[in-house]
Amino acid sequence: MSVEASAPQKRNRSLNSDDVRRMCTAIAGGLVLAIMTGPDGAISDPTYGVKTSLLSGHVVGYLIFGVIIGCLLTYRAKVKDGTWRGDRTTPRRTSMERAMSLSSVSRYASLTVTAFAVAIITLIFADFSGPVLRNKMSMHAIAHQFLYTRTYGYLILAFALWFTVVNQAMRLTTFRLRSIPRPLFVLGAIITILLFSLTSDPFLPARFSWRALNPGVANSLFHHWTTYLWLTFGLAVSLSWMFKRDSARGTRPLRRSHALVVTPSMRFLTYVAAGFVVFEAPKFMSTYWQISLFQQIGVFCLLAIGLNIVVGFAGLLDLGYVAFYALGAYVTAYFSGALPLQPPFHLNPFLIIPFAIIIAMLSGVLLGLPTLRLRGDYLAIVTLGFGEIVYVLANDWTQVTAGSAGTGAITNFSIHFLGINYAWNPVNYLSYYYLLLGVLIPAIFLFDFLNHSKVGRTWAAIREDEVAAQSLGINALKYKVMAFAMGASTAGVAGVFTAVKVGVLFPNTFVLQLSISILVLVIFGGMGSIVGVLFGAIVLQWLPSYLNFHSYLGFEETNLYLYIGALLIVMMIFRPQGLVPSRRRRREILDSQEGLGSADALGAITYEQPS
Amino acid sequence: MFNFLLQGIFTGLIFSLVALGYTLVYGVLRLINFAHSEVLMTGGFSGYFFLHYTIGIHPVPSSLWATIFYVVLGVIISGAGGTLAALLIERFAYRPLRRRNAPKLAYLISAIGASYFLLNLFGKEFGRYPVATSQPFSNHVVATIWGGQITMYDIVILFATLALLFSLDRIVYRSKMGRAIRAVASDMETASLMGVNVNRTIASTFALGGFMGGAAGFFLAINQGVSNNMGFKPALFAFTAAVLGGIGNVRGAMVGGVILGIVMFTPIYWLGQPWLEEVIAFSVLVLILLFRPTGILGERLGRTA
Amino acid sequence: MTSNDPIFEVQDVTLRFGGVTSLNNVSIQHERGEILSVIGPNGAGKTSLFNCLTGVYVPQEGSITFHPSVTKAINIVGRPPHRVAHAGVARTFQTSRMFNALTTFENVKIGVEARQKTGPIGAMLKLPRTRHEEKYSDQRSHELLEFVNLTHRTNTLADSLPYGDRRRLEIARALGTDPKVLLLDEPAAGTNPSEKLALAELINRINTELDISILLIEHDMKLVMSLAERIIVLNFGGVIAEGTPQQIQNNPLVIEAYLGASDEAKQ
Ligand SMILES: Nc1ncnc2c1ncn2[C@@H]1O[C@H](COP(=O)(O)OP(=O)(O)OP(=O)(O)O)[C@@H](O)[C@H]1O
Ligand SMILES: [Mg+2]
Repeated sequence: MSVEASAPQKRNRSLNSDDVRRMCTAIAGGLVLAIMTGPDGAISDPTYGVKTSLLSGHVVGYLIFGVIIGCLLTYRAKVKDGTWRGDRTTPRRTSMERAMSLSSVSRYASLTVTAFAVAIITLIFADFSGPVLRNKMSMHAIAHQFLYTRTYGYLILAFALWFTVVNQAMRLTTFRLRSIPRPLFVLGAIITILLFSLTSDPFLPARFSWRALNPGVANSLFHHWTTYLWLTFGLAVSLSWMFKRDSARGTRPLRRSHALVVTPSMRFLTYVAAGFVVFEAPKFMSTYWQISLFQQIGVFCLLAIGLNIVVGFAGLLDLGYVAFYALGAYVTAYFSGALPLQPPFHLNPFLIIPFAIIIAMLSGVLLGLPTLRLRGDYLAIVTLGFGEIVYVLANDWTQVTAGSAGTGAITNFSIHFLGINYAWNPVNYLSYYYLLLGVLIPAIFLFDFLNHSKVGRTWAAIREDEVAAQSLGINALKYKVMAFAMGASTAGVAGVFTAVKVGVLFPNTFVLQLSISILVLVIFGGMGSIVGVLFGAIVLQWLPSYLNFHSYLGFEETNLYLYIGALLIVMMIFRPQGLVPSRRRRREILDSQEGLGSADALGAITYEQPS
Repeated sequence: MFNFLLQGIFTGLIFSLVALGYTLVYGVLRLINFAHSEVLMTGGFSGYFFLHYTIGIHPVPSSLWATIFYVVLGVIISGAGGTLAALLIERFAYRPLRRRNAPKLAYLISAIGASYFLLNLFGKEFGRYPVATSQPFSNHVVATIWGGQITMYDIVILFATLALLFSLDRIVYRSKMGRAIRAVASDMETASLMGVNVNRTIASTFALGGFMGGAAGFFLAINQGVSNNMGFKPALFAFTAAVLGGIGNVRGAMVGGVILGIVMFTPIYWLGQPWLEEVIAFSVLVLILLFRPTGILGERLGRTA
Repeated sequence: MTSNDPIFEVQDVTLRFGGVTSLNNVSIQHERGEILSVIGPNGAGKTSLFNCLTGVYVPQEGSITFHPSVTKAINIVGRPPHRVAHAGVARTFQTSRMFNALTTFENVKIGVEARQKTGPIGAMLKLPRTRHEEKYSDQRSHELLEFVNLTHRTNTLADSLPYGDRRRLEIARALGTDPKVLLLDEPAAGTNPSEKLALAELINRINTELDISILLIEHDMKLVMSLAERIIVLNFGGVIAEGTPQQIQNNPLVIEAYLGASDEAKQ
């Protein structure tokens, strides 16, 4: 308030060229979105795609979307530089806050309502698994589902989830939504939802196509209303996070108000709930989801937390990460005797895991030693080259890798030990999933310990200021290579799992693009934060599966990287720290924006050696 | 053998053109422009459309003047396409971050994003399969030296790239714009204090590199046709060339391209496996980084003469 | 203090950057236990000297020998910075270089931990040794924060510390590595008079209580004169004078170097 009072003459209610520019950019962004989601073209008629996207009803929704975003950006900028008043100065509590206030009587009522709400949400969640909505269950069946013993598990989950969500939402609202005038916000929300319900393709906001008016399509539209619900929710949350003002700006100490306050009991509850979901929920899922859960989500969670060590903890950009994944997979094929090159002895996949770890780690060290002592961007390109080489070898070195024809059959997991004989059944998808959990869960905890240990702190020090770290006696190269090797070996393990599950390897599984998509999982979630990375991996890997599953949504997998590319740029501009950032990392990025320190080892001032 | 050597030299010239883009941007921003491969691709597509709508499926023009006309105009149009792509990349993937003073990792990531965006946008609009380009000249063998065949294509590349490299060298080392670029490269802050418009200079650096990359795309398009991922491998090689010559060093990039071309292609004569090219190029990259990370001619745009 | 027990022996060191010679035939003897100060006008090569002593720069000519104890001799030239630090040389930087996103406590702890042996396996599994070392480093960090009087800032993020505190934190972090000699590059720059007094006292305590030799670069003459036992004056990369504070104060060469430098600045 004092700032505003001290500079009243600066206030200028009129719009200037900056605002026009901002608006134009936002509208142009809307148009680009329209092109991105529009029909595909072909080289024989090169303007087809753009023309149809821009000169049809398709574009309307995107224009509106662009205008809304433009308004929001303008408003934000105006409030920030004090031209307009945000109503952040009013000490009034939001209705949400009042509703959730612990002293209020409404607490109990709200808890009850919450429980039901969340139970319903979790049931919708189960749409993923299918039993309720997709099979058009009767009320009776739904009631039955409620009374089913496992529902209690869902209820526990419900409470935990709700506390988490509300806690987070409260902090977001008290501090964020107030800066947007409520009418504008509500209007925006209504328009968004309306547009959603009118469209047939909700993959991106507000696809306004006249097709929606076609009754046949409209039917399927309302049938799958849950899609819109989820996507609206997701969109609202991600937009509000993306545009959230970070209070950690400036040299003020970090405000904890918007960080989730975790009490021990809440943490316990969350673990229980998470454990329940992770172990129990898959049993309800349809085969499609059981397969994806292993192949699309589980394996990628493992890959992502491995890459997180390299990118998030050590601050190194590894663009050839998939090479180590491929290495793990091909080592498995080798020891199964599935390659033209025969191994000296065959091994059970369980015994291959240590080999895969060691080989991936060694190749990581060999690649890292020469390059990690150089500037960070060299590392990026060398790893890119390495990824390409591994792919080329897999594809073309037919004498060894069988090339694009694919390897022979890879031995399945089995246990023959102390009289126990158990062989994994390729059709029992969940058995692989649980096996993967046996690696993933320990890895999550171990890596978390690592991050909070001496090693993690040392990485942070190197990331922030390599020269200062070295002046304390820290061998930066050693720690970087260590991170690189650990990331590599994690990918190697993931490779073993994929190889065994898939049974036959084709080089195309390990295209370089995959490295980028793993990187995106890490960046989207928030590099350096294991929870964030898992969040990113689950959401971003789930989404394409989901969109593929509901094929009427018109999603084409080939265009996935178009969106990923756009997402990367937008994230780097508006929220470089990711959606669920680690505190340290976010702080570093903000520091760097303030011109303090260098936020990553890549930028650490390189002392040039006199020659 | 000589054939491979020649192939190496002529391909190497194209690498030089592309490497310039990396080197110029690196010299000024100290960043590897990961989206440069898409500059190449944009240039290739511009060239494709130019040739497609002028020559089309008509018989290949045979007169020398027609060849010169198509090549010169094609290079200019492709170069313009590359320039446009480079400027857009600078405007949307780099400048917002510069304004925010973002950490370096953010630049790399947003450049990768831009690269993927363009790559897949072109794939979406123009299909994802390679398409042959109309030929502006008939690619017959002009001369044979020691068993090495020199085709018309090689001759065109030789003259065109030499002209481009020469004019770029003039621009960077003789013109006012070049002086501004070198000033910003050696010390951005001081340059801006001395009245150099840093934003515009950075944009012109991208534009120059973009033009060269676009022109390289034109030659690649004639030779191999166009597709949305046509830029990836040449760009990777060109980066190696830039490092080989000393990244940030304009003349180094020119030399580095040719040397890399020779080193990459000649051994194939003995090895007989064309896919080993990439393995060789990559090994070269790692070896240089190991033993002489500043490249053959040393780094720095601003200081080396 | 016997003159044949040096901790640093710098002999004929020459360091060039292209055409610029930032150190020219510099020879310095730093006695064990001494507070030695290096002064000189801007650009004289003081920081370059520090960078050579800590292995950040490798001089083209000359030798630098570090004696962690009377009997041991370590050649610094060509040794990477982290190994120099391991040998017992700690430093602070002219523009403070904190780990900004970490707390004060963590900053110091990183310094202490740099000497410990815990590896990634130990850290992941929380092996007994790791726990033991962790306990030690916690305790030691607290001690050091107390020593430099920063206990009240234990959990503050480094980037929100006031300037004077940052300087002291940097010193505490350097002390965490358990050095034999501490190189301070303009520790008083940007601090106010009362902070300067506290700093002088702190430096004295480090020297006497912890028995650490100190090499000090400082522009503040009052501070230098009150602290240093001996002063070396650099100008244009060469040593132009050496002696006790009194001798330096009255040395015409030194006066000229400073006046000359300011003359140049005027033009
Ligand atoms: N990395 C480098 N590259 C090129 N020249 C350098 C480098 N480091 C130092 N110099 C040059 O060496 C000379 C000495 O610099 P140095 O930083 O040692 O001076 P200083 O005595 O510490 O000055 P100040 O009092 O301003 O800190 C200067 O002329 C400087 O330009
Ligand atoms: Mg200095």
